[in-house]
Amino acid sequence: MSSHAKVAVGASKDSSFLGGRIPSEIEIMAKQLKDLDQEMFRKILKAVVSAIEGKDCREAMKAIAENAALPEERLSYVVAGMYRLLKEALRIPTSSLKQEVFKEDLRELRIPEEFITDFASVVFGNRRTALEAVATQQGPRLPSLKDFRWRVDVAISTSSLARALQPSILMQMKLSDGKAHRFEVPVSKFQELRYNVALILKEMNDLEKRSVLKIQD
Amino acid sequence: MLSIGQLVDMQWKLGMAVSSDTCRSLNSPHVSLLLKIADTSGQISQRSFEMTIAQFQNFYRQFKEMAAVLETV
Repeated sequence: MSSHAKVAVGASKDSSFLGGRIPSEIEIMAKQLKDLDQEMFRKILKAVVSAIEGKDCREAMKAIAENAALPEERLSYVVAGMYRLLKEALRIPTSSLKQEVFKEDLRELRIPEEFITDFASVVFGNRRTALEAVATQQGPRLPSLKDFRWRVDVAISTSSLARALQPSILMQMKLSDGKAHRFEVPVSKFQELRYNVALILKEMNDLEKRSVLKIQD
Repeated sequence: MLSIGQLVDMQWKLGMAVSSDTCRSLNSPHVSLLLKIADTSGQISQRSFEMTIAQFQNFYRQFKEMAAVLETV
C-alpha cells in the first residue's frame, strides 16, 4: 500500500538506503525500540554519536548500563543497531540521501517517529561536518606525519677531518604510529627535496581543478 | 655466556647547531658520537648520540677516571 503511494507521488524506490537487505542488527534494534522511553533513547544515542566521533564513551555507557531499567542484552542490541544505522547513513553524501528519504526508510523499519526525528538530527544536523571529518581520517591509511622538526648544523671538526666546515640539515619526523625517524639531509638532497615540495604543491593546486574531485552521484 | 656487544669503531664530530625550527639563532656547539657495536654473531649496529659541551666535559672526565683506574689494574 505504501509503495503504491510512493509511485503516485513520483518517487520510485526499490530499496532502502541500507540496501536490498537490511542489516540484522538494525532490524533487531528496531524491535527493541518499541517501548523504550525517549530519555533513555537519547542518552544511548548521545553515547553512540560520541563513539562515532572517536571519543571515549566508556563512562557514559557504564552509567547507562548501571540503570536497572534496561537489561544489558537489550542495551547491546540497541547500541549495535544505532551504531550501524548511523554509520551507514553518514557514509552517503547528503547530495545523494535526502532527509525525507532517510526518514521514509526508517518508517519502513517501523522505528517510532520521535526516534526517527532524533536520528535525522544527527545525520542532517550541524554535527554532520564534524562526523564527516572523523570519517575522513578513517579507512586504510599509512601512518601520517604528526610532528616535523629540523636543525641546521655546521660540522666544525670530526675524527676524519680536522676542518670539516660542512653545513647539513638534521630532520626529525614523528609519525602517527609512534615511530620517530631522525636523519641527516645533505645540502644537495635538500635542494631536491625543496624542488619536489614545490612540485607537489603545484600538483595539489592543479588537482583542485580536476574532475576527479567533482564526482556527482 | 652473557652476550654484550663489542665496540669496534668510534667516530666523533664537533658541530655547531646554527638554527632550528624553533630557534632562529641557536649557535649551540655540540659533540656527536657514532659508535659501531658488533654483537656475538658479528652483526654490526650503530648508535649515535649528541652531547652539549657541558655533557661532553662530564663524559671526558669519566673517561679520564676510567683511564686512571686502568693504570692501577
